[in-house]
Amino acid sequence: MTEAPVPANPSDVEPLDAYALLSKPTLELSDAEVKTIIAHLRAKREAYVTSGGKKADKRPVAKPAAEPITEEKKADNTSLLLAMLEQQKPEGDN
Amino acid sequence: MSVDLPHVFEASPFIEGTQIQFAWDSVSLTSILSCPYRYKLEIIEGWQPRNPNFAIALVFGILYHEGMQYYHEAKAEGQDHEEAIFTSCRKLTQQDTFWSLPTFEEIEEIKEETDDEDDGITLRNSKIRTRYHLLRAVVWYLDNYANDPLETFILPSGAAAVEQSFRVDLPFESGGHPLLLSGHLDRVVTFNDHLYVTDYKTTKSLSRQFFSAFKLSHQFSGYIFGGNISFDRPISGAYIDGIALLVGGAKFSRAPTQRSPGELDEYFRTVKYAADLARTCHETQNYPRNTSACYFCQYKTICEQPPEYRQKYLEMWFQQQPAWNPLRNR
Repeated sequence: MTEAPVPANPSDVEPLDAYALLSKPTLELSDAEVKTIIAHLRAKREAYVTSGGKKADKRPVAKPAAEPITEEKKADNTSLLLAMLEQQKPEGDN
Repeated sequence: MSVDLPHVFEASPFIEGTQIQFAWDSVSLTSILSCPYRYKLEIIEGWQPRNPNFAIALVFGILYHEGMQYYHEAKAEGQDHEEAIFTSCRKLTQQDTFWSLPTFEEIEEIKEETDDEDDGITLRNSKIRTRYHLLRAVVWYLDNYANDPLETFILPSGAAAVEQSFRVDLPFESGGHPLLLSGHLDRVVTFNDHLYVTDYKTTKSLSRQFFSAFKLSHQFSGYIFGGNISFDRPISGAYIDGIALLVGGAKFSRAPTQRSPGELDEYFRTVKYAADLARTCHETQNYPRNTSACYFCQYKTICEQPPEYRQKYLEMWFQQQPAWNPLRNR
């Protein structure tokens, strides 16, 4: 079994944010973790209140990275567009 | 005169050997006034939906009330606002029931499982009742009211007047048997030297319609009457302490409600009517259905079945829990 690497320094471990802490499968939070959650919630409240309720507090959802548009794809898209325009030409047009 | 019941873990609200209720509260009152058949299923037999939404909403509500209780008790013990908020969150996250609330990941799973034929109720109810939403509602509410003009009343014992149960004699009988009114006050407060009862109500929208519905509420009539008997000072009214639970936030607002002596008298006559109706239904073993009250009734799908099949569908879609008991210690 491969063991997880032990960080050289405890401070190298990324602290969990409030969202992650509240998704934990375990049933315990340390005092520090509870304080982290409270501080997070207060920061969110500050943003919500000062924006008049417009800045909603929603957990960021990671979006998949957009695929880069290649020259080949551009050429394909251009051909497709020209073909569509050709189809839409009324009969008799040159 | 208030009645101190013996220290029995759970006294029955029914006259011994019968299903004639003598101890009433707003839940049982609302139930029988809506529909005697609903009262039979809900209060006498204890049928509750198997739908997990029901459990999530109930657990969330209980935890929210506990969060408020922990805070006010901590303040009464001398903790400041910061310490009391920490105490409240600390205690909430030590409850097993807290961890039974859904996570964001579970909400995403529900979303994926919800198709076009689903009514979407599970998702709508769950996505505003996650662990995160509970702590956010608690912390935001307490910070919103950090300098609360409604100050928690401190009992002679030094304890905060929160989650206070009351049981008082009613000034009339039913079938020759005395009647009791019981209830549970979320918080008793002072404002301008007057005592008020406050009750937390979660909702989606803190509209005028939301607050105005409580003007005719039996629950608040009972609180004002019960509070008047239980405390050595009169209760001047009640506050609906509204909390709007939103996906991306929470909002808070309050509105007062009062009852005149004439309105309280009208309430007493309603309770007597309800008690007499329950007695008649028991004695005739006939609990008729009020089919004009079906719209919001959780037993509508049962009533839609032919009578000979209702028991089967009850066992399929509902489960029997210990029936709602106004005398249960909380």
